[in-house]
Amino acid sequence: MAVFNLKDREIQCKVVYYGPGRCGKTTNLEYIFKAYKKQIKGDMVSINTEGDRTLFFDFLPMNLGKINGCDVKVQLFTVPGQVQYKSTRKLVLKGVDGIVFVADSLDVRREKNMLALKDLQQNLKSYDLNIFKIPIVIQYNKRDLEKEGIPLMSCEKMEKDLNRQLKAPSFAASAFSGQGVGKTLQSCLNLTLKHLHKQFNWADK
Amino acid sequence: MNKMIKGILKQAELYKSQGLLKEAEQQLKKIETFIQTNDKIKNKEKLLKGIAYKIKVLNDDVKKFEKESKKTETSPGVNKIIKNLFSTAFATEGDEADKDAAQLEGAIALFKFGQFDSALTEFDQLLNSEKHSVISAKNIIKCLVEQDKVNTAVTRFFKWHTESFFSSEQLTDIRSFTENLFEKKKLDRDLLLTGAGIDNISNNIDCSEKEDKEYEDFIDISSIGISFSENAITNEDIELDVSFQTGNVISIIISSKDNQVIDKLKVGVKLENVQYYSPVAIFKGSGTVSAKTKIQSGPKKGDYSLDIKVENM
Ligand SMILES: Nc1nc2c(ncn2[C@@H]2O[C@H](COP(=O)(O)OP(=O)(O)OP(=O)(O)O)[C@@H](O)[C@H]2O)c(=O)[nH]1
Ligand SMILES: [Mg+2]
Repeated sequence: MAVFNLKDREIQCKVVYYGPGRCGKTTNLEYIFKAYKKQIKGDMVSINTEGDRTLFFDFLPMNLGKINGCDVKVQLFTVPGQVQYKSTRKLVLKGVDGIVFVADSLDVRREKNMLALKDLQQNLKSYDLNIFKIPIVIQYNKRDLEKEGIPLMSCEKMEKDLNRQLKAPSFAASAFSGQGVGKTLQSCLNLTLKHLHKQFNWADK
Repeated sequence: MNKMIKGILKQAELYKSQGLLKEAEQQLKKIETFIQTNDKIKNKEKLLKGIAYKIKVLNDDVKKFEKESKKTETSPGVNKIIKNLFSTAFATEGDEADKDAAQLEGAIALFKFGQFDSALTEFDQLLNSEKHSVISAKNIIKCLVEQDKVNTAVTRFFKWHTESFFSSEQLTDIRSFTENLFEKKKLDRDLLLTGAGIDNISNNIDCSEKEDKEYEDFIDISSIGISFSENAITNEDIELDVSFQTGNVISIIISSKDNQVIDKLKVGVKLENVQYYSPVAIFKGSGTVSAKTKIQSGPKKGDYSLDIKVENM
């Protein structure tokens, strides 16, 4: 939930990385942590199982500096993607301002992507949020595997599967190498801050 | 042929390395079947043995992970982070009331993440906060019940009765909450009867604490029935399962065998007479076919995926 501190001209918002298990949400945050050192204001917190799957969430605090005279802080979260953690995903989603939906380009994960999007829509609904109205961007991850000869879906195909109705900005990426990671985040932050501005006019106050 | 097996093997290795164990296993099974049914392959026995071993290793991993995902107690440091990150009511300096509200939210988050011991500590502290004492008491009972410490819960419950810590109204509230909880968890409600000295407990008081309300901005549709009233292509109406839904757009899959239906349902076609079946009720309405794609791979290859925009429901 965005928190406005008008006295200190500070705004804090929450962005959640959502998507099926093993699609690369944690890897996105790990890359951001490494590559944007200047904007990171603390440690990355990961609560994992021993097998390196997210158990509760990953958390990374960022400070974007001054935007329109306001100090903008962002909390990045990931959810655990494994199906059985639905209630934890809902908990992490609480108070979300913007969403990055990470889709797995692996052919074998096609259905999992769709189910995860549906799961997101339901969890948002339980907070009275509409997936068509909330700031959201989509990332098609693991594109690097194409040259390894691993069967991937084309971006067009995933666009049809996941983004036909949403019409969200979408990005090809490889969280592994970092390609596309920054663009995805930037686009999501842009949408989120614009959306908050429309709602609250924070930049003018 | 060798090349093909190598390719699939490579996929299996990659999926495994990414923790996609079921997918890896599927690839290995593919190779297994291929070797079994192909007579030209030399060293069949040896190859099959190798594959079987790989599958066994995978299955061991699956079991290991299943065990792990049940383990949930986390360290105090982590619990502190959960507490801080999931309390949105921010404490302003010196404002005790706000501080308590934040602590309460943090404690509820700990509870929801399954950190019952730490949650208990928080709720115990909050008992002394006038505004939050009742909800804390309820949550203490809830924590203890979740931990299967029913006896401790009952003891606490009676202690509050004898201590005159709460007003009788508050006690009634806590009692009816506890009774409901016991009933829900199929525990013996009679445990709460002795010595309490409260008769005629009203069960009507709404004492459930602030839970996330389930909002329904668009109803979940599980299947739909379409009747083609004019130019009936069949005499019967058709009923189709919904495979995916986002908002007011539902997707259905139509088997390639249903030629006539597929032809009829062109993009843009308006369906005047549609029944939408949801788990709660049946709604009559109309809809428009908004997209139609032929499925190119997988078990449903050749079938059509159709999007229908729900209208006037
Ligand atoms: N080749 C490749 N591998 C990736 C990429 N992104 C993630 N991976 C790998 O995919 C696996 C899963 O990545 P994670 O980031 O842990 O996935 P997650 O979405 O956080 O998974 P959960 O926490 O279980 O929901 C790891 O082995 C990563 O190294 C990518 O862009 N390319
Ligand atoms: Mg993760």
